[in-house]
Amino acid sequence: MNLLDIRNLTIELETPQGLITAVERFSLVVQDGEVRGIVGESGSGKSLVGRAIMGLLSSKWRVRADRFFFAGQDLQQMGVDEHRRFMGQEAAMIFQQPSSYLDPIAKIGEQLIEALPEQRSFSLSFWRRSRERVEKVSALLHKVGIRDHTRIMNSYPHELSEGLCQKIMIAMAIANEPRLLIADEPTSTMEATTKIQIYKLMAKMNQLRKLSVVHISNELETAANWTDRVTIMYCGQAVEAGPTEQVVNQPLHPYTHALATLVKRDPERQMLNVMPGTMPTLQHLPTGCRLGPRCPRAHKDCIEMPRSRYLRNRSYRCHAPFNLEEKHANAAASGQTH
Amino acid sequence: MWRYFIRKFNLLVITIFLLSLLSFSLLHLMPGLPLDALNPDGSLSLAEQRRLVEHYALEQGFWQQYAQYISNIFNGNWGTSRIDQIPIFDQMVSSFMSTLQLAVSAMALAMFIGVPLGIISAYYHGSWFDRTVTSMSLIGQSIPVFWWALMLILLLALGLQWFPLSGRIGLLYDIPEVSHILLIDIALADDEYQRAALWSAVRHIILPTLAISVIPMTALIQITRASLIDISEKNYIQAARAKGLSRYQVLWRHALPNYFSSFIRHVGALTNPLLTTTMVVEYIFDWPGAGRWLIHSLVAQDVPAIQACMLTISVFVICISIITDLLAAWSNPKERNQSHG
Repeated sequence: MNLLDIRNLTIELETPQGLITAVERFSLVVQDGEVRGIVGESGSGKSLVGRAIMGLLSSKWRVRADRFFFAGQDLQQMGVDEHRRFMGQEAAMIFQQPSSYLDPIAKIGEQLIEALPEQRSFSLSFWRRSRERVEKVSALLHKVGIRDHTRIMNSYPHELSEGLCQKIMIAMAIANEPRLLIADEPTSTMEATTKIQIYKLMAKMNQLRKLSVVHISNELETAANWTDRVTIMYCGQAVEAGPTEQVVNQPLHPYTHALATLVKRDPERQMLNVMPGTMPTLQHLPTGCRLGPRCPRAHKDCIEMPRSRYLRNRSYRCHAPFNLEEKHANAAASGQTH
Repeated sequence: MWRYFIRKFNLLVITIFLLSLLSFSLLHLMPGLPLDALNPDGSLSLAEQRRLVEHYALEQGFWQQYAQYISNIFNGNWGTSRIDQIPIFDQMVSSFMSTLQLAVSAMALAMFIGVPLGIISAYYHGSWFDRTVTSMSLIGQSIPVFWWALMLILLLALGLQWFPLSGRIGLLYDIPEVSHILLIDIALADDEYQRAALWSAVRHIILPTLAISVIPMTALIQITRASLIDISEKNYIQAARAKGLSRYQVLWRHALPNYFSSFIRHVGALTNPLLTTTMVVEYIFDWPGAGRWLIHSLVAQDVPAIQACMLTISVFVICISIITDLLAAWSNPKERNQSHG
């Protein structure tokens, strides 16, 4: 069953100068127990997608979609608060710079207790109930690999390292037994060993609890190691999506191609294949294909916006894809457009 | 925390030393000899002048005089006022306590109205309520206090006659001063008109309180609103929302506790404008407080009284600001374990 089913999600920002489209017609389907990657540069709108799923965008953002379902529930039918409460129970999100997402003046233990699901057990006395909560919290901390739970529970966020804070965020995230974890660049400020610990932890959660993960990252490399499927975003559009291995090894879209050569560490081509230029701002998008001005394979068709094309279990948005035989390209171009 | 406390305490001692030096020098800074400053119209007899010279050790060196001044202060021997020949210490205690009553009631009113208004307008910020409150507080901030006090008198005391014009209790009631806090004194006074006296005292304090509280109230509205809007954009508030907590829970458990330490700091910073406003308003309402006394003493060039007022008020302001600083640091775990701040 599809846990998360998003079709043509569009996120717009209301500004005094008018609406700015930050994410355009973005589709994402996440199966139960799947690890899904979303990769894109900062500003490509990938974090917005995560926040929109959780219902965390403020009122100046406009979100609409053709389908926006989570676990069979239509999120668009819900009000803002209801959406947030529902997703707060069913899913959890962790962020980069985790220490800034912990309340600086509350102890870790208190914040973890707050994340526990509400229980109506009036039969227990107050003391028994609070002791039970503390036990549950220390069990959570053990699950994320923190052993000295008493010290951690009595600390404040500023006393702990970023890696520890992220583990605590993950402990909070799994407190509710969620079905989906959205990890928004969870390791971008950490050391390499801490990064590996965090990914191992998330992979363990995925395997042991069938927790689906949407991993939002700005480098294909980290996503490539452990995700099942990956979506590449550029300028608010999904430019390519498919099984991670295929996307990395046989990229179709030129942008993915550039990212993938960085992953493969091909020493001869690495330096050459960095794309020229920078990502355009959302106010000054080029006409047609958004990668157009930077694309090494651009030609006259590219002044028209390419539509998403589907090829077996992959999709891409390009007039002149890599790694595709002419026959397929024609077939894809003529028949299977969507 | 202890090191922080000791640092702050050192600061307090040094500031009070400098202030006492300044207040002491006032006698020497006045034009003419110090004795002339104490006796501006030359009406004192030789014997009285002798006594003054002895009291202030005027024949000795500067530092001996300063030591004498300090020991006089600690002995409670602050001299007598030239205007009414009352010992300055007694006058200071009773007038300062009555100033404090006015200032505290005005601050309490400002907090009870200003903070909730600030919270509500931050909570619904951008709404018509928020816009109304913000513009009202802007108006309140730009009204001159003396004009506002006179308007209150004109409308509520002279026009509608709801409240008495001036003073702090009706002239008919004779309440012995025990604790120098009027309400306690009334409660202690074994009087058959106790209730009526209490009512009269309450009616007397309302107008000056309203006049003073406008400035701290508007400041608190604006500070509370701005800080809470600032805090609500912090990441940990978003994370608390992502946990599925309601807006009310987020406000109560995360936003307000985080606002607390800056709130305490701002209250400390508001002490100074509060007391300044109180002085002006005391003068207008003829409230027998330290401010009115200071202004009268200034007019009469009563140097010992000016010295006493200055020293008391400034030491009070500094103590409050250091206490609030300590409280703010103590309420914030990040600062609690730091020695610098």
